Amino acid sequence: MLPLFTKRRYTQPTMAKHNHLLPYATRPDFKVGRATELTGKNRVLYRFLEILPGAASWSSLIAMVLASIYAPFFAAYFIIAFAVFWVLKTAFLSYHLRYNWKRLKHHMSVDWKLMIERFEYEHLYQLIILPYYNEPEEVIEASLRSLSEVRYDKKSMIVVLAREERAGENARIVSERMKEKWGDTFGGFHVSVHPADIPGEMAGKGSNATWAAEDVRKTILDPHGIRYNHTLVSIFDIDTVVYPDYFNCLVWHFMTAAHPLKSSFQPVPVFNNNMWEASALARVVAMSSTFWEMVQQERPERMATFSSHSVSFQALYEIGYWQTNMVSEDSRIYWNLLLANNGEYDVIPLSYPVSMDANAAPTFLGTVKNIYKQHRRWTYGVENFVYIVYHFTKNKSIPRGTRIKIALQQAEGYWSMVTNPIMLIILGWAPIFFGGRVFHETVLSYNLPIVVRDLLILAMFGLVVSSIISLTLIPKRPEGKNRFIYVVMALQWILVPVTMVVFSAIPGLDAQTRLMLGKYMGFWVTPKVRN
Amino acid sequence: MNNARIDVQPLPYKKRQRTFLFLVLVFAVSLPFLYLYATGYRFDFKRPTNLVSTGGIYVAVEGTGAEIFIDGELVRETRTFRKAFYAQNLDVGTHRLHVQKDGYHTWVKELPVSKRLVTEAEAFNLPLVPQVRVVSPWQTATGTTVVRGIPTNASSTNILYATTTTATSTFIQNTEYGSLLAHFGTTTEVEGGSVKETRAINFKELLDATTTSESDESLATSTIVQGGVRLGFAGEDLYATWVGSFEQMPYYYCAPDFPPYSTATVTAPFVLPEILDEETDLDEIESEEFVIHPVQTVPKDTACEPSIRIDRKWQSVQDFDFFPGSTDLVVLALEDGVYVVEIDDRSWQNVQPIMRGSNLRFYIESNNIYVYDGNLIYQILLQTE
Repeated sequence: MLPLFTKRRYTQPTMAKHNHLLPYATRPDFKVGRATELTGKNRVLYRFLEILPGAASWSSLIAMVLASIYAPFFAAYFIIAFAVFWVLKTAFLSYHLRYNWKRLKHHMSVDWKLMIERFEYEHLYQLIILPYYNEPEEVIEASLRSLSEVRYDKKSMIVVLAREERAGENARIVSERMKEKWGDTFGGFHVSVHPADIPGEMAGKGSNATWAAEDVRKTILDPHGIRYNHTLVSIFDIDTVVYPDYFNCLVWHFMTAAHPLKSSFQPVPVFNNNMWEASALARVVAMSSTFWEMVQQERPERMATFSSHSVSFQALYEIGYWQTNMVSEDSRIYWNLLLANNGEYDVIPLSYPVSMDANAAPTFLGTVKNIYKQHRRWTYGVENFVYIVYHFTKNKSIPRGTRIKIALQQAEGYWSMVTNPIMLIILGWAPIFFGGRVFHETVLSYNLPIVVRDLLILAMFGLVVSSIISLTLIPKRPEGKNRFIYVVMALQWILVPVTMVVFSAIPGLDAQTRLMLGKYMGFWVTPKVRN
Repeated sequence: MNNARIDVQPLPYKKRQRTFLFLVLVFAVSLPFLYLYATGYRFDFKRPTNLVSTGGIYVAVEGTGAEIFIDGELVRETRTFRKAFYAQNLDVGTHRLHVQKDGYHTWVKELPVSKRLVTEAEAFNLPLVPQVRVVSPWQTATGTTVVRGIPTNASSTNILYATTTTATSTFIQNTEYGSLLAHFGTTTEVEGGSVKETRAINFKELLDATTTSESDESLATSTIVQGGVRLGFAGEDLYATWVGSFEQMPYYYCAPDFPPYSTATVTAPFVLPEILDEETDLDEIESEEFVIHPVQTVPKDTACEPSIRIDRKWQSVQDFDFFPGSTDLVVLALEDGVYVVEIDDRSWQNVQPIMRGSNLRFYIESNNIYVYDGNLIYQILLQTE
């Protein structure tokens, strides 16, 4: 049962089917997922754009090899320039990382409950959507427990456990148990059931969340007169454990945002839930993702939403919620919102953490496989580049300069993520192997590996910073864990050159190649393992 | 948690922009200097141009524990993972290298260093006293090798039973000796297609031979071809001729002459012959503008006969073959011993004895060298530490 904080009872008007959508969001291709959903010239354009990232990446790598064979001097000079660029880019990103670390620590020390006292926020509702499939019950339990322990009025919180019908009987039993246990803790606890095999949908978090949102709107928001612009939706992965002041921090940023209904709110994902049980490899990969998000938090103009985040229900409703036909719905929602709002949409970094699971499996090989597949799914976010550029050719309401800037930023991001580690760590030595006799006798060919090695060592100093920061972000050491684990946690960063290639560049290239060849990926549910 | 203030604001955009521009400047300024450094240029404020073009030397060494000296200065002691040394920042001119190791012959060479190029060399150091495994015709019942007289020209690694008796009834025939001895048999014996006869052939015929086979093949004449190198006689002299592809040819086959090493300051610049002509002003060469793409090359159309005479110490060559695992070293049986000679004749060819003695024959099989003195067979132990 929900409290009625609203002073006036607001009745949502009965809308025609698409009247609630923003004009651009009414386009039939607004939620395109792949080229095959289009026809005519649009399909050709979309398909071309799908090919572009993979073609650019492969061309770059092949060009490096060919240059090493046929123009080894040019290749050598390019590699040196690239290594210098890499060092400076690392320094630049490290600067952002250190700054956000400072801000993150500060935000975790702020009393956000006190901070929002000056606002009138009691009318706001927190709608937390937790899509799940067949994750272990203890994972769901941990998420719900953390929600119950937040320093926020639980009666203003509506928790939605979004179940998949196709997950079967076990999932149903879990949802009922959770409702029984936690139902009275919150203002509302709802279990939505996403039917299986809805035509046109891809099974995954996006389609599940969209069903849940519409279900909640009809069954809770509208009947209780809860306004959409008073409802903040937090779409969380099922393993998300919130920190106590998350919603206070969220409300503060919502109330102080320039355009709160045209903004998404992004926390920093830290993968601390099973940090002590995960392997060094999994920890390094997970923490690298955290660091990337921390860097982006200081570059909000480049941010898109990622994984668990928050947004107003009104904003979602105006575009018809998440796409149900593609993989990376967590970042796609931002691009939907940006386009539908003609470029007038922001991501506001919270610089406040939410905790999630690092990838773990019972065996090491299992962990390696899971990390690879997870990162391949994440890097399949390159499908967003296609979507963005396609719609940038359609939505002329967005200033051209903005469109070009965003397109180039996205292109550089997806290209560099895939090619840079491979070019630096593997192909940097190509001229030495392929350069031929004349090149081999030059000082340049002898100095090339020395110069590149020294520059990479310089770049690796950034790992010392990463190591220190990571030690401050991990949770308290549990009893039974040897103190020596801290040494391991500090030294594990030596794995970065390997993880950069094996768990970032290669899965990224894999994902781009699949898109290029039209072998579209489906959603892959990351297995959650808890001891 | 009583803190109700935001003391740390988001990183200002202008600050980020300034940092970005600063780093772009660092990139633009540092890159040319890195290019110059990588290609061999160094700053020398004593010179008029302040920028000096240097070269390098790369020397590879077999084994560990050797000391590498350049111009009398120790630059490297070889270890398990550091068996080669690359010296850069060397002035253009001739430099003296030597590689020494306790208990081993010293390898010495003078090599030229050219602008922005690296001169490569491979050193070798044989033991002063060769380590051998003695193979004799007879063994005791327990397998101990029986010898009459202790070998003095080598250090044996197997236990020997020295006897003065000529009676052999108490000993067992060593079958290994018998099978090895067959390789030192008459020249009419054919072993795996390898027939070596001493025959003087025309040198031009030797150069005109067109085979480029990479296989270890012995021809019907006194030639051996291995790894693109043909060993063969021209008159009394033994020559190593490159018959492989031009791309693979070691540079020393067509290396130009260079002045000898001197401890005095080198004043004459070393230049590649192909850019010298009658009108070349040597002073101008010293200060000519550098080029980014220097090339040390033997142009394909240069008249270079890739053939090197092997130093036989003015003795007749009784037998020859490649050193196991190498096409840069040759094993020669001369009148006073069996020697290893390097083919690289820049400045001179290092010659080091495997075993001294007269009328020694040798045979190489499966990376082992066996020497026969008419009585015993010695397996030379080519260990590396």
